[in-house]
Amino acid sequence: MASLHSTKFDRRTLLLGSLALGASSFVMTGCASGASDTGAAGGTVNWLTWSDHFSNDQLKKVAASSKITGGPKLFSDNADALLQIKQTGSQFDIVSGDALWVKKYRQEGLIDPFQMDEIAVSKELYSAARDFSFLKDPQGYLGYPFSWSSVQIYFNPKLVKTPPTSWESLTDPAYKGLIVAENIPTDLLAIGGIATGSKEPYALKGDGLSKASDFLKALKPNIIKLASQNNEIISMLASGEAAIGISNLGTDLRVKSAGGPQIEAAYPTEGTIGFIDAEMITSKGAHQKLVRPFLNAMETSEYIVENFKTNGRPLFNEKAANILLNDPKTAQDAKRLFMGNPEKALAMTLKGPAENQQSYTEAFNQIFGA
Amino acid sequence: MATLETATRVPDSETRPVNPRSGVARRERRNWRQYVGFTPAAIVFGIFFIAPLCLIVVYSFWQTKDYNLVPEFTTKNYETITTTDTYIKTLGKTILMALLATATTLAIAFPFCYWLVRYVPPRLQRVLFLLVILPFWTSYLLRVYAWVAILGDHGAINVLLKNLGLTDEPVRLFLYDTPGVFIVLVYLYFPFAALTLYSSLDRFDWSLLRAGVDLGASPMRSLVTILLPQMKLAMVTAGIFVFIPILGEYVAPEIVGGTNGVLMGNLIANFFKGYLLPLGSAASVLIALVILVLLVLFRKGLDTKDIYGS
Amino acid sequence: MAHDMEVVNPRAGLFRVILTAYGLLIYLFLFAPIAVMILLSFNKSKVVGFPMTGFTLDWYSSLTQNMIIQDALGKSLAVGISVTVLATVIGTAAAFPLVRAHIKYRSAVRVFITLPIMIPGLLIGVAILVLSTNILHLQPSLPIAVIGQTVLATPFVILVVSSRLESLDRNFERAAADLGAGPVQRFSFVVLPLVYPGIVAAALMAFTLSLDEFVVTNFIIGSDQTLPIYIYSQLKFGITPEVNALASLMLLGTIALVVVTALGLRLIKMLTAKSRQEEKTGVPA
Repeated sequence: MASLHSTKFDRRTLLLGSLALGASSFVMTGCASGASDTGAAGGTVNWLTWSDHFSNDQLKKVAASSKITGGPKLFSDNADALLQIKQTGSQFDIVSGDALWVKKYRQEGLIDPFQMDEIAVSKELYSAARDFSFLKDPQGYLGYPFSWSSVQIYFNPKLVKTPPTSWESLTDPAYKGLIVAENIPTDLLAIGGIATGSKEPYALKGDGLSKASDFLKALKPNIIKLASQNNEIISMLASGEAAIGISNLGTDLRVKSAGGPQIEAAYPTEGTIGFIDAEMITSKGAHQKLVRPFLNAMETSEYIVENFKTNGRPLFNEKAANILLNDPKTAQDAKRLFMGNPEKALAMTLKGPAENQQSYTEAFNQIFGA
Repeated sequence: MATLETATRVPDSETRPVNPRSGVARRERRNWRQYVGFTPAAIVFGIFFIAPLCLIVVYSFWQTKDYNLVPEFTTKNYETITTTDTYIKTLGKTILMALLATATTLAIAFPFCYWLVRYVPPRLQRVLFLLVILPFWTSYLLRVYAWVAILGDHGAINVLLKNLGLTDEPVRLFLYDTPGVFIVLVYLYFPFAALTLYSSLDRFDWSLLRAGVDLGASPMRSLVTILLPQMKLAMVTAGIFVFIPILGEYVAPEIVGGTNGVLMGNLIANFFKGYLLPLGSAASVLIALVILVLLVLFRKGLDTKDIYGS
Repeated sequence: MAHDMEVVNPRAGLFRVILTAYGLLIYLFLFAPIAVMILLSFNKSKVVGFPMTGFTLDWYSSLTQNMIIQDALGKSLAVGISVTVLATVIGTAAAFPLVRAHIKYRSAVRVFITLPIMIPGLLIGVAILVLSTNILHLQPSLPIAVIGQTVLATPFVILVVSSRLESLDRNFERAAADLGAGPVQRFSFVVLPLVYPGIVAAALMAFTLSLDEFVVTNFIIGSDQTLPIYIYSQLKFGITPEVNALASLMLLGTIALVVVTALGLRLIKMLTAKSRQEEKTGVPA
């Protein structure tokens, strides 16, 4: 090849040439991460959330109508999400979180309060939902309330001879290898706290903490797997791999629609924890301006109705509740699953960060380590 | 006739091609010039590998209060790791698992490579060898997850057993427990071992075995006393490349391990997820030390010249 | 082959049969999960697992609709190419002094170079994350993920290129020097043509490594997603056979890439052989 003879194939130029190539593709990747932002006239909104807060269909429709594309990234444990928001600054615009975690986000300076009127569709919410004490801030409201549920016991009556009646009963060796629960250290210890009679399951320390730990140690052999998210609990109950699940309202509906058996709920005598979740606006998000219109489009009653039908746990949109309660096809489930009773949400022990998160994580690791 | 190959070889580093026009001054300048190639690597590794690791070591001596790192010196982290029952058990279990998996992988890979080198026509060898590497081109995550579909209650094995009428209930031997993790690890690291052993076996002079038989040894004895010693180095290399990465595995145990198949990597991941940086760093430093010691002890195995030649 | 031993060993025939069966069994073991993975991508059931409720291509077609996957694919490619170029350049440059320069403690350098492969990815990921967020005050992002993956890929490049370099007979260069060639000419006409298949192989290795890299990337990529990260989030949060379809296509893509590269190398060999023939005889082939 004549060309090889003529070009000065200097090692240095070779090195520099390829480094230049590498550097340019490097810059390209920098642009690539930015390029995805400028879609059409609207833009993208990056959302750190749970899988049951949206559906792909809904995102498509919202993108078409409002020109804002939602880009969800999933997580399961609030602690995880808090850490991610802390470390990534401008990369997320909205983050979903459970009740008492919202205050923590605010304390860490990670979210901005807003006025409910800025999101017109908030009129559809129950008035109680617009007035939650833990979401109030001198400068506005801290989160847009979405859904709520208690966390209780579900079991497959065909596979479980004696139905469990309390948290304590779950430690019975008869249930060995039958239970699946979500892998959230803080909440598991809180359940342990409730099971051992604590009044403040999220502020366990000393004696209370070790009693809760002992409960979990006794429970461990009965747990077959700590699932990463709710979907996994559903599929394990549906396939029969697990016979008991610690999960939220609507699990029976979802297991049924996943082709599984009819499972039943058991409300433990000691009480339950529960969550109220909300969408928060991050302080440093790159697309802050798009968040309010995006939420406005996403939180309309039509989508909330669909969300209830798919996930079976109650939400705070009053307009959607009325639609569901008046529709003969959904009325029964809507009533049974408290769609019209948001006040029940406040009667639960709400999920939140532990007072001493470190001790909870350490306790959890010591139990489930090996 | 003496050829260039059979003439005594002077190590490459001691001579260089002599340009007749070079003078002493040139040779002096060339002294630092020869290391220039290391520069980009040194910069990248220095900033993004050594520095971060040093940071981790520093963090292992600090504390956290409530999601914030507090730069107060303490050795409590190391104390906690080395004295808490569960952690010690997990560490022990991880090392044991790694040893077992390594031994098994080598034991399985050796006969396989032997077969490949000795009984497969050379042309076919390369294709078949590529087929061993091929799984690497599938997503690691899905290769692990596929085992759930094989070992699970409704997995291939149980479905087969049921259809053959051998069982009524699903056999829950492996999934979500330590044996499952063991199988998956052996599966994942088999190609590493196979790659190394194959290259080494490929270079072996098989006529030596025939020579041994001619001298009176039985074929099996010939194999054991002639082949195996020459394979020692390759075994060590293969062993390193399997054992050490297993120490840090956490994704596979997470997917197939359930609550019983927890390894050290999972513990460390949990620490970091809970922002317990100091504890996680201390645990990581301990594992890294183990790895470093092993690498130094078996550094001969890293000289891949004899093994990977071409 | 083992014919030489068969003459003296009466049991060699049996040995051969057993070993062959064993070899095939190993292949079964190796490919079972992959076969299962591909098979399940055609499963009608929404849940990933047996039994097969029906046969469908729906999951493959839904891939084309899935914007998130396409975005992740683009990011994976961008990262992959950057990492390949960077790792190959840095690694090749470092391979030369490793083999040829005068180093007092060569094995120490070797240990050091293989460290990034040996240290758990978990640790490397967290370490780089901590460095960039706490010290450099940079957010986790795509470029940082590129750097992290480069740290992982470069040792492989160094290993492959250096072993190729070591088996290179220096006498070729000495001969060229005797004929008057300067160092630059020696490099471009003697070393490079003999070593480039190794460099190409190393580059390919870096690319495939980058495409499948998950652990380190997960920590330092921030809100972007590459394909493995997308797959992981699907695994954790609700997997459908769509992911299997994705993985099957990825496998096909990688196979295609390797085949194309191998053919390309062969093509180059043929072409350069042709041109050398031209030079020798002065007549176009």
